[in-house]
Amino acid sequence: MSILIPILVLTGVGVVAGLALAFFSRVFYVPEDPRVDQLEEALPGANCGACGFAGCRDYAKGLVARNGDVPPCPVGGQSTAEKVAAILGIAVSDVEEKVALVRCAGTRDRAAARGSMVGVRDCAAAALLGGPKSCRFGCMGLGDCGTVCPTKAITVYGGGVAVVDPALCIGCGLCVSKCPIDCIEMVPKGRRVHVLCNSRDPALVTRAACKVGCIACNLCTKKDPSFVVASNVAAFTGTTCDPEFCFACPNDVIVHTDRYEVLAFIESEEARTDYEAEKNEFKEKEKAARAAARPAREPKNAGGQP
Amino acid sequence: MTTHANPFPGGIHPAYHKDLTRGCETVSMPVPKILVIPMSQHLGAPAKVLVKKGDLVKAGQMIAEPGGFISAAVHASSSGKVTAIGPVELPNGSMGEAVTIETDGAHEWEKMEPIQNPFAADPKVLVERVKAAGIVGMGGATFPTHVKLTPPADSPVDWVMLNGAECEPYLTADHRVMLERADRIALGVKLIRHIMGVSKVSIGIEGNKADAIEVLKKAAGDLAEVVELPVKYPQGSEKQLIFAITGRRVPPKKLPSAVGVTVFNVATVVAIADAVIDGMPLVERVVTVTGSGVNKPGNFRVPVGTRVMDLMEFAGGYGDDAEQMILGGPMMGRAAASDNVPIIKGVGGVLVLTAADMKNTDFGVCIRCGRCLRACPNAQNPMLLGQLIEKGLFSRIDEEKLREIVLDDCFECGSCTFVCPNRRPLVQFFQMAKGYYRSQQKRKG
Repeated sequence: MSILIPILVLTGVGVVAGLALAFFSRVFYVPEDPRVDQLEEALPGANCGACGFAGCRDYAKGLVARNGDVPPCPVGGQSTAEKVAAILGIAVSDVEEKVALVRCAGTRDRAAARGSMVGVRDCAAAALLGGPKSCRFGCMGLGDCGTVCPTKAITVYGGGVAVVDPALCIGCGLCVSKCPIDCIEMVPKGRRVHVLCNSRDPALVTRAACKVGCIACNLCTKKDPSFVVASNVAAFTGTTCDPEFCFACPNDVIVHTDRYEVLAFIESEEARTDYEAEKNEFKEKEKAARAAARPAREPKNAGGQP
Repeated sequence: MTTHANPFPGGIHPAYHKDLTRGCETVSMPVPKILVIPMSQHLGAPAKVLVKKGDLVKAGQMIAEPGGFISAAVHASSSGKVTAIGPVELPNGSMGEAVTIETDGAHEWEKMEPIQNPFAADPKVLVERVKAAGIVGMGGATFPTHVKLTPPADSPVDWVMLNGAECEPYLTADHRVMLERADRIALGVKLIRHIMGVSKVSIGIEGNKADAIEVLKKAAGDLAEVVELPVKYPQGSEKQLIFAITGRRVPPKKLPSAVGVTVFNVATVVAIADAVIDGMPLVERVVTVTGSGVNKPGNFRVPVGTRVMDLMEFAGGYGDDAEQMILGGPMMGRAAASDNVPIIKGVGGVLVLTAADMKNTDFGVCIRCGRCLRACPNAQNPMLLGQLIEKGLFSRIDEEKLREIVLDDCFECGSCTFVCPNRRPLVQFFQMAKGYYRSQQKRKG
């Protein structure tokens, strides 16, 4: 029978506490804008903090407090922006969805090593001594970006270069601020042509350091004006171009994702062999085109003796 | 007069390995074929290049002027032709502008006029001369000396200290300078007393250099008192030296002039005397080449801008099992990835280690034994900081506060790393965090 006493006591405490809670939740009720809950529902829920707020709920509160006058959610993109605009009753702003891109293809077999790295395996530590590679701008491959990525979209593969999986990347940009050598860039999600080099060194230095470095030769800019060369390195600014134009690059730095995935382009032997074959084909074609364009030279001594 | 000093709290007792080169008289190295002279050999703004590619320069000619108030002039170390001006790799691993000179072997001098009767001259003239000679602190921090000689009016200096502690293991460059150029040091002390108008000068020397203490006591006479310092690392650190001799404590983030003290390295004092008496700019320094990976260890008087590979060739080359090179001492020096870097004004040693010297660099978790707390000469908490930084939390906690309290005050002596039984690279963590803050600041503009 003594078991009944604790049961009764606990039940009594529970009932009293429950009633008290019910009472206080009405008396001390904090009114909250119902839109905050709706907004939180509409947001991607990645809680990555890329917007500058401490997670999605905080961002929703910020949206309500400033009536939408905050930078758009970089992860949600256009669809989220539309939902947010509908809830807040404001005009939809255009949001460009972005993904991260590691601008380096200098795997161990292509980029010369400076020395072996011992001690703290961390990009920030390696950057203090100029990094393990001859190239000062290339990916050091110690994976700081991967550790901050909330969706584990960045992996350092066997070649020692970090590669972003565009399918997993939510575009939060945390890796960009983590990278000590600014090797990562946010690019529009729709862009299909990438220049995989970040070397701002002059051509001779780049050439000595890496087989796949951009030497700012401007051959690509002649093919398509969307290629822009600034501070010794090319960049693609458009969305897409003729895939053949990529073969104009003498150092194999430009990748067109219609032909090769960035990961395959950097890591896969097979893709590289295919690429070489296609490039040779393209070169032959260019040669033939040039030969055809040149006016046929008169054979020597045509017209007999003077 | 010799007095004994107070030991500072913390510190460690590493194996000194100084016997390798302690007895080696300084040998002057012949001028190499190529000299690579960086514009950034000092703390502060890089110097501004005055020469063009193709110019003929003479030894001692100023090839770059100071780029700001805290900056120093740079001179050609030998005569020859400027073949290139562009970025090169510096001893700390970064890239910086440098003037490359192909020497002609004639070593023609273009010195400044010696100052006649310097003790009657206006101190300002002497400070100008020190500035024109491009003299910087040769203990490693490379702070421009003319700035130190003119302390701000609100913090007058009443005590000048000469640093001959040389607490870094392996290095003996300062030791040899003290033995071989004691007269010049005495002359330099006299000049500094004249320039700064101070009456108290102390020369701090670690007790393991008894011969240097003896020689300097004789040379300095009444000019300065020689203080025998306890043998403990990092005794040669400015703040620890000041505490040992004066008992004054320099507050965190403050310069020694805040407690009325200025410290000069002994080699810097020799350079000051050379500049005033001989009109000789700072174009050479004594470098200890040592370690078990060197065939003929020794002390060498090396022209500034000599590439490490040329110096190593002169020093008999690398041993068969040479594995790692460190520029500077083993505690505070930086590992070098290449020997194609120039010797600059602040590099006092080239240390080559073999695989047998190098310990396993794998490290484990902090076991909270607290040895680093006892070793830290700054009374900080390396174990907690190290854990925060290792976990990447340093970017989330209050940056400004952390920097103010701890990181700016840590001078990276490495005592914590030395004593850690789990081989945790604590000082490397702090360097990493400092580098991270620097890059963040750069990004913010």
